[in-house]
Amino acid sequence: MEGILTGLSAAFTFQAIALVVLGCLIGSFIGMVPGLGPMQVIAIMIPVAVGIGDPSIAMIMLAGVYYGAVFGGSTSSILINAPGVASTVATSFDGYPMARKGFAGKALTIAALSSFAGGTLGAILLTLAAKPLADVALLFQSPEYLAVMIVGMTAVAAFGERGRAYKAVLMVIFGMILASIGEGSQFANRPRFTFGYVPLQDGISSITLIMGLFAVPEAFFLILDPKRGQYKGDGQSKEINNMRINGKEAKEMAPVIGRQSILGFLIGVMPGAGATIASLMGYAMERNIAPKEKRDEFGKGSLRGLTAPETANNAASTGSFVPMLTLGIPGSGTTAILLVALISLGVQPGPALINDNPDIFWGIIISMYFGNVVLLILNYPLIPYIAKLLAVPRTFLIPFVLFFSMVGAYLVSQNPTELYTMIVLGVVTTLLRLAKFPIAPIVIGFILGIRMEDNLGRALTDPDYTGFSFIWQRPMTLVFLLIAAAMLLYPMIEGRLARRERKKARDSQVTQD
Amino acid sequence: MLKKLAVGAAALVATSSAAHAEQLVDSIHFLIPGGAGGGWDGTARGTGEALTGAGIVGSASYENMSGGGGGVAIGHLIENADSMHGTLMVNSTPIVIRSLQGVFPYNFSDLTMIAGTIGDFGALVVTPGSATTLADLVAAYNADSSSIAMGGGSVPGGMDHLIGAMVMNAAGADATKIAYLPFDAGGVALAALLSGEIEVLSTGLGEALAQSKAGEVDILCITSDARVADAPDVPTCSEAGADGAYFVNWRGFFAAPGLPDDKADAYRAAIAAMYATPEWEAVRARNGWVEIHNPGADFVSFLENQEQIIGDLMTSMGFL
Amino acid sequence: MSRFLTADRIVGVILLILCCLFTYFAFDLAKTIPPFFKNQPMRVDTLPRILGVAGIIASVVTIIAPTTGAKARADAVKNADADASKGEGEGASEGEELTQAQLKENQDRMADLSFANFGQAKWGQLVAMIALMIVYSTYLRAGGFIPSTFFLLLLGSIILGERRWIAMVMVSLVAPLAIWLLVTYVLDRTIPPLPKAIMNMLGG
Repeated sequence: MEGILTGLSAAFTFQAIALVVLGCLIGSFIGMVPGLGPMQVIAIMIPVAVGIGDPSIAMIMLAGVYYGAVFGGSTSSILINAPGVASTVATSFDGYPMARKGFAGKALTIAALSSFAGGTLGAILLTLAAKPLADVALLFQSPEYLAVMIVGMTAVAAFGERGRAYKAVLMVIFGMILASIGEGSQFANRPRFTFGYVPLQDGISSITLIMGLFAVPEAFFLILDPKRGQYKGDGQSKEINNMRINGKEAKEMAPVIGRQSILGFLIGVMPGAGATIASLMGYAMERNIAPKEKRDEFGKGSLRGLTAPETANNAASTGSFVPMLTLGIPGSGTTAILLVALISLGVQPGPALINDNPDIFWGIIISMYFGNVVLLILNYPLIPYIAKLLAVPRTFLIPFVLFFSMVGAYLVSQNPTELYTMIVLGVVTTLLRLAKFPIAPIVIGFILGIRMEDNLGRALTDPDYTGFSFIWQRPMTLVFLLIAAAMLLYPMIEGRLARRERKKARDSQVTQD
Repeated sequence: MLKKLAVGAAALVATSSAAHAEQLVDSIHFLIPGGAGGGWDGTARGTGEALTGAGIVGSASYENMSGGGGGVAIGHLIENADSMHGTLMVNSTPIVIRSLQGVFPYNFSDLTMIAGTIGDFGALVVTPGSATTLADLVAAYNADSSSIAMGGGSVPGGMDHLIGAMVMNAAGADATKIAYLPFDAGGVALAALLSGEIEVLSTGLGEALAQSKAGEVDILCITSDARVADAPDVPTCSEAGADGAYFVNWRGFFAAPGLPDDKADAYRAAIAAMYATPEWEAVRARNGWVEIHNPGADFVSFLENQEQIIGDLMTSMGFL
Repeated sequence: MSRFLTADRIVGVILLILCCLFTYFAFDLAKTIPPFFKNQPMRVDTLPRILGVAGIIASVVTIIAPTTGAKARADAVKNADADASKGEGEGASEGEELTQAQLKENQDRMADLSFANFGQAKWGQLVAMIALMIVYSTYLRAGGFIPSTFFLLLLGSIILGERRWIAMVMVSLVAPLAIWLLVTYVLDRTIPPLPKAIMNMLGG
C-alpha cells in the first residue's frame, strides 16, 4: 500500500507529467510511421530513459511512449489502411471501412476509447492479481498455444462469403504458404523455397506483407477509381471530424470492452501469445458471438469489430507485464525491450521485485494508468485534426501512402528486395480483390501459420506425448479446441437453419404464384 | 602528505587522460546485419557509444541492413569492398555455423577479421530441485531417454542445440536421441522451463544469470574453461563431468576484404584502447557483457579452431 | 464475362498451378534434410507438404464449385444499386446521421471495382505509378533518399493529374527532409540522403 502511495507521489511531479506528455507525443507521431511500432520506439527512447535515472519516472515516460506508439499505429490503420505493426492489423479490418464511409473521427474516437478502456481495465487486473496470475502464465505449454492459435484462426470465418467459405480457406492457405518461405519458423533450420536467393532467406517480413496486402492495394484502388471513398453529404470534413458516439453505440461497445479487456489481458499474460493473437482472437470471438445482423457488419465497418481488437490488444499489452514483472520473463518483443530498460536502470524484475522494491513495482503499474489517461486527454482534442488527413486531395494522399509504405518496409531492412516483394504483393492483392477474394485471411494465415508450426512442432517433438496425444493428455488444450469448433460451427448451423427457413418461405411463395 | 598529493595528481592526470583518450580513428561506420533492437544492433551501438564517448573514435554512424540471417550485409561488404574501408560489420558465432551448413555462400575468412570483443558462455539450466548436478541429469536421461526434453532459443541444429548436445555428449549421454524443442526467444524458453514443458534449457550464461540469482533456476554448468567472477558457485562443464565441453559465443567486428593493414591495425588499436575506459565499463555493465578480447591473428586462429570443433560436432550429430 | 470463366475460376486455376509447384518443391526439400532431422516428428518440410496438398484441394474446390450463386449475387447487387439511385434525390441531410440510401451508396463506393466497370478505371495511371515505385525501389540507394523521394512524390502527383506546381514542389521537398531528419537524428539510423557521387565528393 505504501508502495502505491510512493508510486503516486512520483507520478504527480512536474517532471513526470512533462515527460509523460512528451512521451505520448513522440510515441503517437513516430508510431504512425509504418514499421515503427511500440517496440522500435521504446528501443529508441531507452537511452533517454536511462539518462533520467529514477526508474519510476523513467517508466512513466516509457509508458507514455508505449501507449502513444500503440495509438499511433491504430491511427494509420484506420486512416490509410496501413497497420504499421501486426498487432493493429485487426484494427484495420473494420476501422478503415468505417473511416472510408465518412466516419473517420468516430473511428478514431472509438479506437482511443477502446484502447483507454482496455489499457486501464488491464492495469486494474494487474493491480489486483499480478501475483496469482504469474502462476497461471506457467500453466500454458505449446499444445495450449497451438489451440489458442486455432481459436484465433476462426477469425477467418468473418471473411467467408456466404456459400463461398472455400475462398477464405484458400486465402488462409495462401498466407501460410507465404509465411513458410525462408526460415521464419523455428523448425525451418534450412531456408525453404528461396532457391539460393540470399535476401529472401529471412522470409517476407511482416511489415512488408502487411503494407503489400493492405496499404498498397488500397492506394491502387484509389488510383483506379477517383470517386472511391467520396461519400455523400456536403459537409465532408464535418463528418470526418464528427467524433460523437451516441448512447446506443456506447451501450453496444460496453460489453465488448468488458469481455475483451479480460480475455485480452489473459492472453497477454501467456508469454507465447501477446497482443497480435489477442486482437485476432478478440475479433474472431466478437464476430462469432454477435447476433446475426451485427455479424454481417464485420469487415464492413462494424463498431464491435473495431472495439474488440483495440480493447484486446491494449489489455494484452498490459497483461504481458505480468510475466515480465513477476517472473522476469519477457513474453513479447516490447516487454523484452522494457526489461532491458529496467535492468539498465538497476531494477531486476522477478519474484523478489514486489517485496524488495514495492515502490518501483507499483510505480510501474501506476505509470500505466497515468500513460493511458494522459494519452486520452492529449489525443482526444487532436482527433478531428488527425482525421482531416483524409481530406487531403487524392493527388497528394496517394503518393504519400505509397511513400510511407515503402519507407516502412525499407527502414526495417534497407533492402530493396523488401520493396519489390511489397510491390508484387500489392499487385497480386489488387487482382485478388478484383476477383472478390477476401484479403484479411491471408494475413491471418501468415501471422498464425508460423506460430502454429512452431507450437505444433514442439508438441509433436515433446517425448511426454505420443503423436497427437497431447490433445487429450492436456485438458486445457481440449477445451480451447472445443471453443474453436463451437465458434466455427455456431454461425454455420445458424446460417443453415435460416436458409432452410427462407427456402420454405420461397417455396410457399411459388405455390401461391 | 606531499607524496599523497603527488599520487592524487598522478591519478587525476591518469583519469583525465582516460577521459580524453587519444583519437585513433576518425570515424567508423557500423554495418549491422540485423534489425534494430537485436543483439547485433546492441553490440554495435554500445561499442560505438563507448568508442566515441571516450574520444578514441571521432564519430560513429550505424546502418541496419537485415536479410538472409545476416547474409545480405556480408554480401554487401564483399561486393563493395573497395569503397567500404570505413565500415566495420558486427557479427557472431552463427556466421560460423551457417557457413558450415552451407546456408551462406560466404565464410568469415572472406572478410578482414578485426577483433572479437565480447562473448558469452553456454549454460545448461534446470529448475531448482529437479537435478542438482549434471551427472544427475545424465543419469536420469540414461535411465529413461523420454524423461528429458531439452529446450533452447535456436532452431534444431543451431547454436543452443549444439551447445546442449556437446555438453551431454561429453558427459556420457547419447545426445542424438535427446528431444530438442526450439523456442523463439530466451524469455519464452525460460517460461517453458518453469512450466515443466522442458526439463533442461540450453542458453547463454548472460540470460540465465539474473534468473539464477533470483532463485528461479539452477545453472548446472557453463561452457567456460574456468569459473567466472559473476557466478563463482557455478562449475564449468569440464568440472561437472563433461570433459572438454568448451564453447564461447563470441561477438566481434569484421571489415571489408582487402582492407589495408594499417587501417585494420588502427581499428584493432582503437578497440584495444576501449577496454580501459570508463565509458566502455558503463556500456558493458549495462548490457551484462563478458569481455573476451581476441584481436587480429588471435581472432583468426580462434575462429578457425571454433569452425573445426563445431564442424566435427555437427557431422557426428548428423546435422550436416 | 462468360458464365463459366468466372473470376473465382481464373484465380482458382492460377493458384492451383502455384500450389502444384509449391507442393513439388515441398516434397523435393527432403533431399536436403541432414540425417539427424530425417526422423524428427516435425521436419522442415512437414507443414509445407500439408499446405501444398491443402492448397491444391482448396483451389480445385474453387474451380469446380457451381456458379449459380454468383448470378444470384449479381442480381442482388443490381437491386441494391436501383435502391441506392432511388434515394439519391433526397440530397444531403443536415444532421450527423446519414440516410440509409447514402450509407448504401457510400458502401458501394467502398466496394472494389468489379469486372463490369473495368473499362472506366484509370489503368494507365496505375501502371505508371507501379513503374514509378519500381524505379524508386531500384535507385533509392544509389540516388540518395532525399532526391529519390522528391521525384517519387512529385511524379506521383503528376501521374495523378495534379498541376498545382508550387504546392507539389513544397510537399515533395518537405516530406523527405522531415522523414530523413527523423530517421537520422531521432532513430540514429543511416540512410544516404544524397546521391552516392555527391556524398563521395562531400565526405570522401
